[in-house]
Amino acid sequence: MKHIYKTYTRIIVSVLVMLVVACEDYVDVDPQNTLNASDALNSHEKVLGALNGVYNSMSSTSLLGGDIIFVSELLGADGKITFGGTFDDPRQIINKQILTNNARVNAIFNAAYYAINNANLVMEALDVVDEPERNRVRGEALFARGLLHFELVKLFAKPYSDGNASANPGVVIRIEASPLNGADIATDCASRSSVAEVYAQILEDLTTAADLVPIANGVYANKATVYTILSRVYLQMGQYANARDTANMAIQESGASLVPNYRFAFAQDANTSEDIFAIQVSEIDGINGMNTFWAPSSQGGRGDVRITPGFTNFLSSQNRGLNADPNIAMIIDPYTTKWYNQFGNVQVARLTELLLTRAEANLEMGTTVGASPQQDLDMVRARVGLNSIPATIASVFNERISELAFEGCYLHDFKRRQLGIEGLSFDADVLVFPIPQNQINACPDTIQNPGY
Amino acid sequence: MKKGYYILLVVLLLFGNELLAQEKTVSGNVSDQNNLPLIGVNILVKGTSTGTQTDFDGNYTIKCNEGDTLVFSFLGFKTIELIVSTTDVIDVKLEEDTTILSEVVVVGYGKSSKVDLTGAVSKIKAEELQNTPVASVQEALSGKASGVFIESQSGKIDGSIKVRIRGTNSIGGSNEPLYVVDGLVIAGGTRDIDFNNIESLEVLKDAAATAIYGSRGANGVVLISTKKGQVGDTKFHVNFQTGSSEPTNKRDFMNAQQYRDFFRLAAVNSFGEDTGNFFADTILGDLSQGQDVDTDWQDLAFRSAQLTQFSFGASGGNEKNRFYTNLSYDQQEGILIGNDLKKLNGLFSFDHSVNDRMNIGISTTLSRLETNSVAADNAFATPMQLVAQAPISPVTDENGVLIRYDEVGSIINGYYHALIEDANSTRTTTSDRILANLYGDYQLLDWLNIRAEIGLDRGARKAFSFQNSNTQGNEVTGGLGSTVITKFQTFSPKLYMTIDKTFNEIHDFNVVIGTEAQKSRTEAAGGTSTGFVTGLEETGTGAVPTSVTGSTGDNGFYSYFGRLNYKLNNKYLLGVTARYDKSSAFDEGVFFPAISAGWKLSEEAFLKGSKIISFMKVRTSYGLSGNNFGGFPSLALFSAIGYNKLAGIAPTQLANNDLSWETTSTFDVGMELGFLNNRINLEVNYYKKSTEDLIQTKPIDATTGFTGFAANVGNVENSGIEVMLRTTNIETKDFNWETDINFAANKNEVTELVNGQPILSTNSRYLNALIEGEPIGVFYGIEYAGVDPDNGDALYFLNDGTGGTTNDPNQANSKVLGNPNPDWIAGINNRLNYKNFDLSFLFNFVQGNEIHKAADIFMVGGDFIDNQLASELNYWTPENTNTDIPQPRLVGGNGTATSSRFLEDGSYIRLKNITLGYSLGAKLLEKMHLTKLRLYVTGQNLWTITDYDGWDPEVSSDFLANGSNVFQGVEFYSAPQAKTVTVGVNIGF
Repeated sequence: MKHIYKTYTRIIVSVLVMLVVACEDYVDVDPQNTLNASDALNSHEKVLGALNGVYNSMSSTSLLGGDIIFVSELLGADGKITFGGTFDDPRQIINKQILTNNARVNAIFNAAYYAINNANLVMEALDVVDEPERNRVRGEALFARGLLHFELVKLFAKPYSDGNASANPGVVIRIEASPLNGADIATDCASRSSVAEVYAQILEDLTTAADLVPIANGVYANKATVYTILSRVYLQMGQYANARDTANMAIQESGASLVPNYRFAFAQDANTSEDIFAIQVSEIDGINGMNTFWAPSSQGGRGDVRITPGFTNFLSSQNRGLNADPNIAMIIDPYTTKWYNQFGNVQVARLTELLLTRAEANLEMGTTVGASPQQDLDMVRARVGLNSIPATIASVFNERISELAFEGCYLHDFKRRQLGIEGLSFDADVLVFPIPQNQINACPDTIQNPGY
Repeated sequence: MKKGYYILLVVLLLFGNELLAQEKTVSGNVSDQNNLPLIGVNILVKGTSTGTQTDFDGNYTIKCNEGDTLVFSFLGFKTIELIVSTTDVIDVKLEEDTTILSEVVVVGYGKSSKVDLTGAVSKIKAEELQNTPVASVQEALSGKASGVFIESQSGKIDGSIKVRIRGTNSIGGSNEPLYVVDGLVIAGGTRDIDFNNIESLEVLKDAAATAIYGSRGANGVVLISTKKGQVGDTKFHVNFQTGSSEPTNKRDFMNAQQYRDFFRLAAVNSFGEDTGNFFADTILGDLSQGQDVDTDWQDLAFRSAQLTQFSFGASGGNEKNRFYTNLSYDQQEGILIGNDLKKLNGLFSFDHSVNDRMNIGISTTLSRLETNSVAADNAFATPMQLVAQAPISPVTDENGVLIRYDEVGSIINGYYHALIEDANSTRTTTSDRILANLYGDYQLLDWLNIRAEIGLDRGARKAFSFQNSNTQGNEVTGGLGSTVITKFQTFSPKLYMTIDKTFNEIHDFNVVIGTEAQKSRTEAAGGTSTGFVTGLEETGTGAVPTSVTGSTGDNGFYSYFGRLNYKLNNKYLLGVTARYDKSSAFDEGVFFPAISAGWKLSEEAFLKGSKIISFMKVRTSYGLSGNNFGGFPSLALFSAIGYNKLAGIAPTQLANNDLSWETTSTFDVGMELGFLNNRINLEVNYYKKSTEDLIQTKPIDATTGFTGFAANVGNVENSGIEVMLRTTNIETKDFNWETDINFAANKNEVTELVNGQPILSTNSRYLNALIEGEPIGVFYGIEYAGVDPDNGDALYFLNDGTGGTTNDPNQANSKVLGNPNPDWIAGINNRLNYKNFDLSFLFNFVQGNEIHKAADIFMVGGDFIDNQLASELNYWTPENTNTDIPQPRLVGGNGTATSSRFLEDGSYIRLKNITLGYSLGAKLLEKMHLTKLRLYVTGQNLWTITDYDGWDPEVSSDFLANGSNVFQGVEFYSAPQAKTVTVGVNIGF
């Protein structure tokens, strides 16, 4: 009996020993490639990093790094380009047969709100930012938020110019950061504000930002950048005086000058002297999403977008097409050379846009703020070796079409001036993206755009 | 772990010096038919609790009285009862029990006799896997284990292989079983395992069997036991095999003249005579490059692929030391150009008996695997996309230079292709790996064994690729190079004890209690660069370093586990299993229990001695097991980003503190029957599995900045039956014939999704969807209605209740069109021996699934410049109106919308393997001083019966199926399987 007792004691001891061997050490593991959220926005340096993160999310190929320009050109193709690639979603867009599950449309929507939330996160962490830089950081975040709401409302809502801005659904306005715990968000859904409300918020963000950002800020948003976007917003709203003034301020604050040769205003490794704002791309960082679709394979792209002979002829007549002078030409059949540099920056705004905006707005207002419309138009034309023609609203607008071709302006310029595209009315349902099906699924009460 | 090992030593020292002594009356030796001593044979005085076991010499001593009956029993041998007479020495020779039901089955942390199992376990023996001319153990296993569905993605020799045990449980997690090699849960995949070294392979299927693996058992467990040395003379073995492979099938495409005519017709149909002919002239002119050729581009994707396998080894040992070694070299070419693998594998296993109670040993596998891969199925650069090239296009120009068709074309450019890629690029992965398991066990008491194991799975993998400046996208940058080196290590100590005791002869207990921990680390570093000088390809020689990667990922967990098997009167069986797992992935640990029971009816009086029914057992089980996740799925995380070459951060994941394992509950009921002295064995199982708390992305309002977060929502159910029938049809001196039949039907159903919301493909080219009430990955889309005889338009059913049709695919409503999961699968394996000849053949059945030929939209309708299927020649014309091939229209999209038109029954019956062998007779062998000489010829995938008209019905395109449980059963320029014939020889001396 005693013997058995001893044996069992030993068994129990060995069981206990086993239990000790395995221990918490094995599960005490922390992420090493990522930061835990609780440790992410708690210092000056990290919030500045998060601000750089906002630019990075804006530079996504779904946003300013490509698609914001690309899809605008597809929707506004108007016989200028064809899409010959195998991807289905750009084809849907150029054919104006967009399905609500279009992956590209979905990605733009999601990426824009992701970047907006990142900007809001930065703004809610300003407390830990050192005082001297706090305003700048807030200004840049406000710029990003305003710009992205603007891009969203242009693509996902009826144009401001249709006269029903206060009734038409715009997009959801997000000016607060979302909680970082999924359970806290779960089933909350925001509803779309009207187009007018969205524009009001954009103006508030951008005008505040204009005061906060510095005049010089490297490749990041400065006063000229914010005024440029403001001038675009005012143009969309048909507020020519404000468009004129902000364009003028942008020109003055920027200190930009035209690149002597038109050809070399594009596809450069670094910002050019006429760049107001550009998404930074290099061999090691970022992707030029426009190059992907617009440049031929010999230039690192897929060569899916081709310029039609008709538009090439028009550009040639404007000295920007198949011209003999390689310093001017921006077409090498059938591609545009604007996006030839796989590792070049993606230009968001150039000086000539501001000159033409100022000219157009001055003409509309009958003023000569900053310069006369004729001076501005001549300056743009002279650079490509074109002679002076009388500055009229039509001639300035025509100049925009060739000067800013394939830079994402055409569609929105036509919409704001109520000009039809491909026989469609400027406010046609098919010229507006659907709210992505995934978003409708997550928030079934979301109002879908007409026609979808 | 060092700590654990020391503790074990302490335990051993505590007990080792004081062993239980018994009064000696009877002694003797127990051996097998070859006079080799049997270690651990149970000897029991019948009717008492007195018992002992043989030591490592096979010797025993036991106290008993004259007239007592001694019962000698040992797993895998027939039990013998002897009456004690006056003699003090009783030597016993045990006879091996070769019937199926005497089989010993490896279960988690132990072994069991098949007759006493209360769980569902399939066992595959070495002979069934050996010499199969394939590249992975899974392919060798295909069709052989009931309820195990195995699918090679394609004929790519390094393609993934899908293994589903009793259906698909998880939507977002892994559905692959857990692989355990000699007790070690391996982390580095099974690709480099030499299956010729496998002694046995067990598949654990129900909760009674898998619950001991807790959070990792839900998808079933595959236990691999490698060969070990046996006591006896040193034996050498040499195996050699060589042969070649070709594709199982090719599709018929148009020839040059057909293509020309068809293209012109399609152009004219779309654009009228003038413009159409202009387009045709221009494009056909561009594509033919001034040459008049008829190129069979499909043939250029394939080659006659060579296979050579060689292995050499020795095994043997004595009572103290036993060893097994094997070295193998395996070189296999894929049927696709540029696709091959080389495998070098060395196994060394050593066991040492310290004394008659203590054993230590190590089993080590060293391997090297080198693969040359081709691009994914959706890349222009993949060989199968060569079929898209026009047959009128010459491969090379007048100077013999390969033509880049993507740089040719005045209206539309052609396609880049694999011949250019093959000539100008390299994609090589080289892996080195060590798999080692060190063990020590100690027979503390004759009924108590303690075992400690330390397992290590570590390796390094170098993924290298280089594309020179002649490849697409790299012309400007002067080539693209990439090297990524990944190191992984899994370290796993475990300690467990086994109690094996019978009380009063009727209460049989087998108890396992233990603990196990695991820590894994994956470290990766690499970079890419551009700009290369001809002749230099190493990534470091590139002029511009374009990216650098470096990461470390840790994972860990610890567990306690236990299992009780109780047998009453050798009739009634009860099993209780439990495991507690705590993982670094989730906040809380989870407990996974299972209970099972069995009743051996054939031991009851009313069946005992029955001439017909020789064995009968019913069993049932219910339990839980989990599906493991790595990483940190429950935390809110920020990731590092770079913009403008400056550092930054951005949020990438939302938190969910409540996140936990996916849990599968399994109910299983089974019956095992043996007839006619077990010449016929039948096993039938019914199971019902419910996987709850699926980890899925719960979608949220995307305007929050996030589209969703990981949450436990959703439910998938599987239910089905499995039947296994093994018969010995003929058993004579010269002729033996055995048949194994396995059949499994599984019904899979997604029973709950987030908010009940179906998840449809976001890419309109694919149909796979998740819909409540439907199986996972169900095909959902519009229904093709044939051709409008009046105008050649492709028609689609409106499916709006009117029964009407439309020629506008956007007007047609979608519906469920098919199921990528088979209704039932089966295998029939026959093994025949006639004198010195052996013949085996295995038929594999996969029935009731549909396959979506997603790339066929490019091969029909004359929509673009791609070469077209020959079947398109039966297109609609005003004269040929009775056809389901619409009128071809260049860029007209007539019939090319993704629809049921491209969905087809993927059922097939395949002669998976057939082998004919001849072994030399004993006399001849003796003259040659050999113990074995067998010559054989074997064929893999030789014959397929199917109505499927794609390349091959065993398919799941890699770029879709890798990383998705939903996008299964899609063919997209996927290579057909390889059809292989080899000859080989096995030599022993």
